[in-house]
Amino acid sequence: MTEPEPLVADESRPVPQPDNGEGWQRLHPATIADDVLQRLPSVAVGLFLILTGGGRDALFELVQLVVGFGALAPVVVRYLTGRYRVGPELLQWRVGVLKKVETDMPRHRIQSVDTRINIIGRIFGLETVVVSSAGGEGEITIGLVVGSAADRLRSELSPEAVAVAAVEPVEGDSTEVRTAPAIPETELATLNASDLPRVTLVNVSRLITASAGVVIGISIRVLRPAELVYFLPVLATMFALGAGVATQAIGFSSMLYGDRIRVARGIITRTKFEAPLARVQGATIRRSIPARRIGTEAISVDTADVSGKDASKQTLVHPIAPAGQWKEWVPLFLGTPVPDPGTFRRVAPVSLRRRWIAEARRAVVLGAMGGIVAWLPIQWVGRDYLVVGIAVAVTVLVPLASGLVETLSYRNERWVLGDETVAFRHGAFTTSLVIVPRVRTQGVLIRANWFQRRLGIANISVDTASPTVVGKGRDLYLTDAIAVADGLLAGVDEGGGV
Amino acid sequence: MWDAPGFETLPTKALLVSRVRGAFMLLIIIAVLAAADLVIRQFVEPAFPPLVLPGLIALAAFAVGWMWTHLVWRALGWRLDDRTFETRSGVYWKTWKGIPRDRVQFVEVVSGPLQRHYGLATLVVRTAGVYTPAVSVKDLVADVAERLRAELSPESPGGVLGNHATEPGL
Repeated sequence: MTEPEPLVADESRPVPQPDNGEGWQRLHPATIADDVLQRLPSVAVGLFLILTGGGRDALFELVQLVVGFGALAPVVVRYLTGRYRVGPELLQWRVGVLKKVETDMPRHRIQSVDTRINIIGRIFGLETVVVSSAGGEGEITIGLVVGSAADRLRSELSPEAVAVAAVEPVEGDSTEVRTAPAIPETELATLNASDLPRVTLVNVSRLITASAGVVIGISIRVLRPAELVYFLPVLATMFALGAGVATQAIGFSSMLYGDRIRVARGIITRTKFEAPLARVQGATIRRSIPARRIGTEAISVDTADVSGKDASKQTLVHPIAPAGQWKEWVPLFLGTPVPDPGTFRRVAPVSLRRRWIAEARRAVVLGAMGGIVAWLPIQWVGRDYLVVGIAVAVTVLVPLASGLVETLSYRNERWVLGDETVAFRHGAFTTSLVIVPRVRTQGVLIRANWFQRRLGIANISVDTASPTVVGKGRDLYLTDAIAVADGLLAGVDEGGGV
Repeated sequence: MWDAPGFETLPTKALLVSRVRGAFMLLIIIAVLAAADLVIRQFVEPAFPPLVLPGLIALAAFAVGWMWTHLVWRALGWRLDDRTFETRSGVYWKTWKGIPRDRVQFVEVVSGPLQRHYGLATLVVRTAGVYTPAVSVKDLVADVAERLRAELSPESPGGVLGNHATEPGL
């Protein structure tokens, strides 16, 4: 057995605090009452089982008691085992008996510290402190604790307090780089009713849905003139779709000022979205076929998920920006230069073969299913050429259409790893170009099934702190995927990337 | 990528625990199949004796599960260097995940009763990423999981952990 190599000390980083078992704080006993309220159904079942025990055979009674106490036990677990400690570097949280959870959250990664007071808290003067780091699941809930302890937690853990206490900024820190870019006030978009036709035209999916609604509505009107009750929901759907498109034109405005981006939209209900540029994780540029015909593109920015699901959204900056406008705006949003479209690389050509083989495989499966489905009516009504024709058409046409879409998609797929950004373009009819600054990378994932591995290709996903921006490349050569991953993982800094 | 050198494999205890979990699942399947067999026999009389078909299915599931758990266990691995934490997994779909150590938000070590009995634990490394918010390595030796937690916690000093996962005594 070889001796473990000693850990190499890195003087540029603080040494972790030694765990001498001191400094742990427990929760308030009223936590039990809080858990009783939160687990009321299981508590009720547990009490019912315990109180109604007896009068039957001993084994049954024992099982009833065990299940009853088992249902009650979780209400005391959090109070008996929950403890927390605020160290110079970490917030630590421990809880659980059967399933022990030990969480260490670095203080400098804390994004927000919220306080919640429920009915038990109001009665006993207690609070629950929720500490969030970036990402939807990065959360520690400490409570119930007395008000003074909650105040202390808030003051010690708030991002501002941590920032003040932080050591000298690390050179190349991503948050430092983008904290306050000096951007003059810039108007990005100011649209009105005259832009509505163009906005409607480029929203292909809504346009198709609305057209289908019109066809269905007219059909109902013609075929069942007396039954207007079916016609009204179609009208309502079309109105809702139309209103959705209209909010992207009438009264839509966006602007940059200082280090923030602001978007205002809505006709009846006005919504103003504002986000610091330091939270922008990436940008997406979409071009539908009509948009390409009229020379426009839709530009959106993606912000970090820093306080739960609601704070994460893709914000449309301009639905009908002039084509090529992204080259000027995206560097402002991201704080980095964008890659030259001429440097974009195609995915592996062998990908096209893989896609058509996959479609052939699908055709075989569909053929088998179609054969079975067609066989049943043939048994009942005899050989019906219409049924056979439909089965053959589905078996041939669906994979064929799917293959053609895949071919179109293949022709549009591009990727590039620039000095400061990584970009992926995809889409068959509407193309999407996703640009992610390299410093925003949170992780890289490479996947390949058996067939892809035989062909030496793989899929790659570049993860960021925004749910809406994930750079995805399909069927890159494995060597290219590895090069992208290595480049991205080597290029991050110590700023957290959020 | 998946066959790259330097990946630590999981201890053989992890394979054992995985098979014990599979055995629990198999017991449930056998119970359901046996119950279904007995219920069906109330209405029709199949040609084969009672519980033969559930037994054969269970035997086949046992054989497939035995081999599959081995393949899954063999595919699992992790690697830590001074910049990144990497995991690999998958049999048909091979997956490699890489996380820059500077992106680690916090680290959890979770262990259930079965894992604790065998001295194992699950390491969960959380980032701010939304697509892959957590990278976990199941059934690590508990001591290794603890050392990885200490090592991966953002304030820990950098350094390579070394080949400890498969060594006895850890």
